[in-house]
Amino acid sequence: MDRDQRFEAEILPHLRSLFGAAYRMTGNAHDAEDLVQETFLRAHRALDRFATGTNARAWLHTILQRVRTDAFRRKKRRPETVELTGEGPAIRPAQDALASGHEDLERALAALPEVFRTAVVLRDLQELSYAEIAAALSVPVGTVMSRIHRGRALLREALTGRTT
Amino acid sequence: MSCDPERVTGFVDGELDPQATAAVAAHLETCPACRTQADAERALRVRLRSLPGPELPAGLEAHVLEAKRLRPSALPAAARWALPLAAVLLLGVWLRGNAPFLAWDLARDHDKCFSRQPLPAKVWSDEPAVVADWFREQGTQLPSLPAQVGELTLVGARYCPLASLASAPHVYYASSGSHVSVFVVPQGVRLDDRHVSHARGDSVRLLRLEGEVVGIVGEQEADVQAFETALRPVLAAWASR
Repeated sequence: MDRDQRFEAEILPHLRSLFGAAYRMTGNAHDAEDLVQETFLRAHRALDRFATGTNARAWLHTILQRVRTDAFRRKKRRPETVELTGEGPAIRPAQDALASGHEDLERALAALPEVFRTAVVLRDLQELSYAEIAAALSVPVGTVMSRIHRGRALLREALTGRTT
Repeated sequence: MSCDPERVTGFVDGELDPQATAAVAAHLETCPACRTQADAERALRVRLRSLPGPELPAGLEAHVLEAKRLRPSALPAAARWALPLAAVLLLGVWLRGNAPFLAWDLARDHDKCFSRQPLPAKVWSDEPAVVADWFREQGTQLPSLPAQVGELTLVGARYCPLASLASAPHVYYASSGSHVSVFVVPQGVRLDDRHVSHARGDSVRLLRLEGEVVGIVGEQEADVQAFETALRPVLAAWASR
């Protein structure tokens, strides 16, 4: 199997899932599209370093986080300090979400501080293990657990309208 | 064990070692508060997993496949790379400086940005000074652009990723019926004075003045022509600065 065939068989099927995660991380479709496009370009270039049979989605998320970090570094700021408002349009729920009563959850997720939202998205939407999330974000496993805990607590708070 | 809410999260996710798992399981038997947390986290996880994903933008998959072909990939086995690499590099260099390719690339980005609702601007203003200040903060000096040309008024701007260049300042103008994009192209393009073309149904002009290249894209030929007329003196002043 040549490089392009391998890319199309093992990597490309994750495009939709990565786009979904990037959309929730960035809060808008245009930035998500740029982010995912660059991620897949780098994945194609680095395909020799991907071991078939390991979790391709986790590997792609490691690349995606690096693309984000590089983009933030170019703008001389780190993801943790990003303003969640005032930078492009806020996340807008998909029409399906509005129709099926997910709007409150969409809104609560979009309002989470960046680090917690990223951890919850990687765990609960992308179903990565703590070890895979730790590798993607370059933080200890304990930090991953703590961020997921805090993220879920804030989501519960927002959804029930009371403090936990 | 006393209450440790973070470990309850790890327990819910099945991420604790066997000893800690047993300890949390025993604790949950006796602690209603931690049990409530665990149940709520499980319920939340189910809800999060059932969230519908956003629609995949039309053409993203095709664009990934197309773009990876335009960019040289990492070198595979040494024996196989020399010739293809040289060919790709030559093609890359040729494409980078190729005016028709740049025109197509700018038209593609114009269509992409203006098909978004709302427009993906990073700076919103109808005042040229505000837009210029924003770019200056990012380290880019722009020529002084008009606030309005005919019916088209300044809306905002951002940097756009292009296939032929790393990224370029992209300034948006809009009226009720049409749109014009002004791009400042930061790298060398093989172009004597001006390049006129049509790409993807848009009119495109590339103008050169003293090493600087500005691209204008619009759906209406007359709009693009009006922008060229308006920008000529601005570019002349800019080039002689």
